[in-house]
Parts: sequence; structure tokens; C-alpha cells
Amino acid sequence: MSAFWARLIRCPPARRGSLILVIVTFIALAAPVLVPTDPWKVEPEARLLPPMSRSIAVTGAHPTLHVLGTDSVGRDVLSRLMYGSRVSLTVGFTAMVLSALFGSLLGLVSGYFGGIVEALTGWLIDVQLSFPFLLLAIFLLGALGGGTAAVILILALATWVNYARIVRAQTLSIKNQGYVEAAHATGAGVGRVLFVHILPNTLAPVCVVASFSMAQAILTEAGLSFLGVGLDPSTPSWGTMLNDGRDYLLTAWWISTMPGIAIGFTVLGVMSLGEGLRELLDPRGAS
Amino acid sequence: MNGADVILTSRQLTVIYGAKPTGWPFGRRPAGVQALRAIDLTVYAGETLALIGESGSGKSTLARALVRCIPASSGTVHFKGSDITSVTGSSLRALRRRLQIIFQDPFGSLNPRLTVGSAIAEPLIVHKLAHGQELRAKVAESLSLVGLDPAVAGRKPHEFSGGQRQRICIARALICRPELVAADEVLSALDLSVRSQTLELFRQLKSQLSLTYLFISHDLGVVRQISDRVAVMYLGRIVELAPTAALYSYPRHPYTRALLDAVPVADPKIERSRRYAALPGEPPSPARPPPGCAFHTRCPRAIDRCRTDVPQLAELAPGHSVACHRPY
Amino acid sequence: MSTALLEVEGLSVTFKGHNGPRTVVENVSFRLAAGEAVGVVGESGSGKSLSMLSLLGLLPAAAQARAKRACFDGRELLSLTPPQLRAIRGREIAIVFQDSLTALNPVLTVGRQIMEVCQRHFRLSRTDARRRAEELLAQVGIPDPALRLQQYPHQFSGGMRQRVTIAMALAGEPRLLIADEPTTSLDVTVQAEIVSLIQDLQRQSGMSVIWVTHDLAVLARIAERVLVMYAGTIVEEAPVEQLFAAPTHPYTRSLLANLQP
Repeated sequence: MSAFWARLIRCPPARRGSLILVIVTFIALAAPVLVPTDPWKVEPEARLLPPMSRSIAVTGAHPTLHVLGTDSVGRDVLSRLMYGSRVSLTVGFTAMVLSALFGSLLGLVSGYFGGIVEALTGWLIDVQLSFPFLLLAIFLLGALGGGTAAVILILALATWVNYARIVRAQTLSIKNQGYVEAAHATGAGVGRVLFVHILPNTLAPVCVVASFSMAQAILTEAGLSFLGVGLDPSTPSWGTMLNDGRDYLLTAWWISTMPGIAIGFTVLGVMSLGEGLRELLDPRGAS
Repeated sequence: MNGADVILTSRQLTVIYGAKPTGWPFGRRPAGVQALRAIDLTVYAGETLALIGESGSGKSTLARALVRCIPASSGTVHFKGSDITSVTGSSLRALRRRLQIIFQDPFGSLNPRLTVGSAIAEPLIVHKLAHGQELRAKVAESLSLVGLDPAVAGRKPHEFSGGQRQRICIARALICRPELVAADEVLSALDLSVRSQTLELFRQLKSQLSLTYLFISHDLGVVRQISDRVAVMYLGRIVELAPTAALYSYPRHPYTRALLDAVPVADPKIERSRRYAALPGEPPSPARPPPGCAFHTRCPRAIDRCRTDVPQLAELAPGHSVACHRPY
Repeated sequence: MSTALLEVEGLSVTFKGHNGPRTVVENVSFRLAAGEAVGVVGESGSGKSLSMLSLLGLLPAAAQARAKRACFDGRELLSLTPPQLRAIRGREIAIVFQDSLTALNPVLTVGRQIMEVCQRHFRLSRTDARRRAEELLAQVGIPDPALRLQQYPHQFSGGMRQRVTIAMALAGEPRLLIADEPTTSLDVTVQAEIVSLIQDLQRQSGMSVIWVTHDLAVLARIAERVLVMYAGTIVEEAPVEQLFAAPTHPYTRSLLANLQP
């Protein structure tokens, strides 16, 4: 295990990705402490202030410095950005975990049992892929009534197919390996064979898919919120911030641009880590 | 041999490999390949019975069918008197403790993510025979039994050589103290210098643990060293069955003769002076076996009868049976 | 003794690794006369295949070969340019590999693959090349050569496929044939036939053969001299009868001990 970490540090994309993610996660975790002002505090007379401007606080204390400016109702962009990281990371991560669990499980059983299970899973995948995702998302969000949980569910729905495909392919090749046959010969039951022998050996590509799908989830959440069908607009998420600044792109560009940069930065980190993982876990790579 | 107990018998054991229909549009089931044809075999307790043959002979299939790793298409298998042909579920699992199999590839037979100790402990865990401290103790005991340091239990398979990995597989197979062990080409993937050590280990363990071996190999030299009786297989049937010494000194089936003849002798003078009489033609495919005796297409002694009648195993000398219309 | 066809002195092969260079073949020296059959025996990792492949520039990218001399018929093999090496490969030095299935292109007919060698090295016309390919298939003992020419590699059994690769190797009329474990994955009876075949072909054409194997017993039949390799170096070299009768190195002795029951 320690050898793996050593190689991780040496691999440039993984190093870059890990660094970025560590920074973003730290900000997300420490946001309540780091944040300069209350992200929900509305200051109508401090609306649309450009970055590095000061506003007079209502209570008469020394003016607050808005490093990244304020938005259309006077909220500090930097504070919202920091809190937004919590929402985006949570939503992205939870969606990733849900889709990984569901997709991997389905891939595992369809690859192992074949037959009707495989046929059903294949049909499910085809049905989902044949719908334009956005349409599906809007329909489901309408039906479920919106809210964070609904958005997470939609995001999980968007990405489970990737896991299912990969895990199924891996399962098909692993189940013919010697150690699986040996496990059968020992008398191991199906559950043990699946979860002790097959599944752990499919994890390498799953890790890679997981990082990419988390990036996808973050971007999709931003997109949905931007369109107004995602999270509640008052929630400080990067997507809602993008939506906020939509009408002011030419005048108060910082409202949308800052979250945009934050999204780009985080996704870059996640993708770099994924690329690094792919290099590291590739069995053909020089060890 | 007659005084010894019978541990395993098969009657008319047949295994057909057929492709499963791949979903409802493909309902047609293609004709299967007969890997084993009506095998009658008796294995005695405490002996080492070797199964030799070339590719397509069915020797691996026979071993797997006898230890119930694959199901029989027809025929029966009896273990110590009870019919095990169609057992399933918990009875099958209980059977696994007593009938074990070790595979050819030491590299593929161990889960790369599990430690060696976990791999060896697997039978104990599956059959709920021990846990915790007792489990660790048994694993350590198993490791020393096969000549490995018990302290290596925490390492992963890739840290070991081929010969060591095979020992780990042996330790895994023996930890539940089975009664019969099938060894499927267990030496073939090992380097030459390691083979004799591993063979010696097999011999040792057999007497230490009172095992019965089903030894599958294509290496006639190794078989000669370790087995008590030898069964020669060709295209899914046993063509000759004899005590080792008798088989090697006076093979009666033409195929056995050709097989023994083809093995190079480690003496250049002898090798240069003899002329190997090649078997004409190619080994037939198991999917399209010749009618009658499967060997007749290549047999130097074939007669008309060989083309139509399948020869049955008949005892020509004490313990020495041959399936041939014109044996030597 | 005729002048040496192949003279190798101080051959070494090094791999570039993460933890520095790794020498897998060290100081290998031997000579091969025209028409001679030499066997190289060793287990996996002994460097026997790599030494031979390095002479033809067939090493993986991470490996590098160096030698004081690696002289084939007066030409220094290791200092030839790629086009010069390509002219030698297949024409003067041919190789037969262990796995005939991967050595042949699965999407080309067997005839086409043999014809390719003939057309490339001898500039034969299509008809002449096809006739030559048919002759070669017959020479290696494949029945119905005209029909088999049009078949694909997967339609042949293992032994037959190996004969096809031998026919391809012979197509260039090589002076040296390197057989790298050609019978290791074949059944015993098929192995005996392939060994006979190569022996007959050698006698007919007078080519030299380097037979690389891990099975010492096979060399008792086909080799005149044997090189024993262990951990990248040659540990013993002797005429075949002397090696079997009175081996000097402990490793050779252990190999022989493994053979006799």
C-alpha cells in the first residue's frame, strides 16, 4: 500500500490532481472558519460591487473587503464560493458513490450470471441511453419536486452506466481466472466468490471511472442549477452562482466567472487524479 | 491393490461441453463436444493414479468430473460408496473438504489482492472450521508443512516465485485434510530445477497425510516417478490402464507405445541411433471423433473392425487393461 | 572445422529500469560453424531467448544489446542499420517462435504470408511465389498443400501451424535458423515429429540451427553442441555427448538429474 502512495507522489498528473483536491476539500471543510462574511447576508446597498471593493457594514463596524466582489443582492462572492465548494463537492461525491455502488453491483451480477440478469441490465442501459439526459433530468426533477436529494439522485442516474459496463467487462474476464476456479473448488459460495474474489479485482478501472464521473457530476449539477432546474437558488452552490450571474455577464462578470473558474479548477483536479490513477493502475505500465 | 479400499469410482461417466443458448433469440442449442465418453474407473485409497494423454484426451476433464468441479452429463460417480453424481448445495460443499484439486497455473490460482495467509485460510473460512487465533495457527502449520516460513503469511502472491506459489496452492488444498487430491499438471508451469523439489514434496505429503492422488500430466518422466498406476487417455476414453512398471516396460496399446516412443531419451548415443516412427496424421478434433476406435486413423495396427467397433477395456494381465482390438 | 558462420563475443543485454539498468544477459560468447546444430538450454529468465533475439535487433524498446563482436558471415550485426537488418532477417537468418498462433497474422491466408517472404526477398512474381509456397508446405509435411495455402492460421492444428511457421522460415533459404522453443507448447508426439522435420530440413539444406529450449532431453537428439545458460551467462559449453556423460557445472548436473528418474 505504501508503495502505491510512493508511486502516486511521483506521477505528475496524480500529484497535481491530489494537490488540487486537497486544497478544495480543505476549503470546503474549513469554510465556516475561513469565510470572511456570512454568505447569506444580503446587503442591498452593496450590490454588484467589483472585486477588491469595500462596503460599509450596516452595523457600523469597519468596512468589509469583498475580495471577489458581490452579487446581485449584495452577498459576498468569495464567501459564497467557499460555501459553494461544500455543496458541489458533497453533491458530486455522493452522486459518485451512489452511482458507483449501483452500477458496479449491476455490472458484477450481470457479468457473473449472464442469462436473464445480463439481458435485463443491457436493456436498462439501452433504455437510459436512448433518452436525452437533460429531458430525463428535468422530467424527474419535476416529478420528485426538486431539492438536493433529488439532484443527487439524478446525477447518480447519469453516471451509473459507466460503472456497469466496466465492471461487467472485468467480471467476464476475471470469472475465468484460476483463483476463481480455485475458490469454487474450495466450496466457496456465490457471495464469497463475487465479493471477496471478483469485485476487489475490478476496482482498478472503477477508481478511474469514479474520478471522471465525479467530475461529470459536478459539471452536471452546475449545468442543472444554471438552467434553474437544479438546487434551490438561495443555496450557495457554484451552479446557482452561475445562474445568478447570467444576466450580468457583461456588467458584473465576476458573479458567474468566479464560480466558473472554481468549477474548472476542481474538475481539473479530479480529472488529473483520474488520469494519474489510470497510468498507475495500468498493468502494462513499467513498474 | 485388491485388498485396498475403493475410494472413488465412476461408471459410464460422460461429459459433454455444449454452448449455452445465449438469450431468447438464440434458442438453438449447438451440438456439444464430448470430452469424456463412458469412463469406468476405480481409484483405490492410498494410491497415486496418473492420467496421461495429450491435448484433447480429456484427462483434465476426467479429474474435474471425478472431484465434482464440473457436472457429469451422464453416468455416475461414487465416493466411498455414496453417489455424489448429482449432489448440490451444502452436501456438495461438504464434499469439497474431502475432494480437493490443485491447478496448473500457480500465477493465476491465487487472488492477487489477498495475502497468502488469507488464500490458504479460505477453505477454513468457507467451511467455518476455525477462526481467529486457531485459524492463524492452522495457516502457519500449513505453511511449514509445505516447507515455507510461517512468517510469510502476510505477503501477497506476487512476492513469491512460481515454485513457492505452487506450494501455497498445495497448502491451501491440504488445510482441510482432504482424502483425495487431484493434481492437474501441477508441475508443468514450473521451472525444471524446481520440479523435482515439488515432486518430492508431493511424495512426502502423501505419506504424511495418507492421501490418494489423481495425478494428471503429459510428462511421462514425472509420471513414472510418482505414480502407482497409470491410465492412458485418448480422445475422451481410457485406452490402457496398468501398474506403472508394467505400462512402461510392456505397453500394450499402440498409442501408448507411440507416446512412450516419442519421449526423447537423455542419451545422445541412443537418440542418434534410433529412428522415431512418427504417428501419421493429426490428432482428431474432439468435436468430430472418428467412428469406432478413435485411434484407428493413425494406428499402425488398425484392422477393419477398428473402424466400426469401439473397443472396451479388457484385462489382459493382472491389473493391466487395454481397450484395443489388436493389442501387443 | 570450417570458418565460423556466427561469432559472438562478450554479448550483453541491459534493460532500462526504474531503479537503474538491469543486466539480463552478460558476457555471452560462442561460435557457430556453417551447417552446425547448437542447442541453448536454460530455464525461464536465463536469457537464452534474449541473447538470440538481440542478434537480430528484435529486443523490446527498453533493452539494449552490446558486444565486443557479433559477427555473422563477416558482418557486425549490432552495428547494422535497420534496413540492413531487415535484409538479413528472414533471408539469411530466420526465426521460428514458440507460439505459432501469435507468430502468424490471423487475417491473412497462410499462402499469402509465405508468398510475402518469397516476393520480398527474391522478387518472385505472384505465380512463382505461389508455386514456391506450395513446394514449401509440401516440404514441411503438410498434406494437400494447394488447398491449405488458402486457409487461415486458425484452421490449422498446433503442430500443423508450427510447420507453417517453419515453411515461412525456410522460404528465405536462410543460412541460420534460430528455433526459439518451437515445440514447448506442443504435444509429445507432435514434438517428436517437428524435431524430426527440422533435422531432415537441416540435412537437406545444410543450414545451421540454433535450438533454444528448456528441455535438455530434446537436445540429445538434435544438437551437436550444447550451451547451458543460467542467470544470463553461459555456465557450460560442450559437445552433446560429453555434456550428458560428464557434466562439469553443478547446474548442468541438476538439470540432468531432473531428467533421469
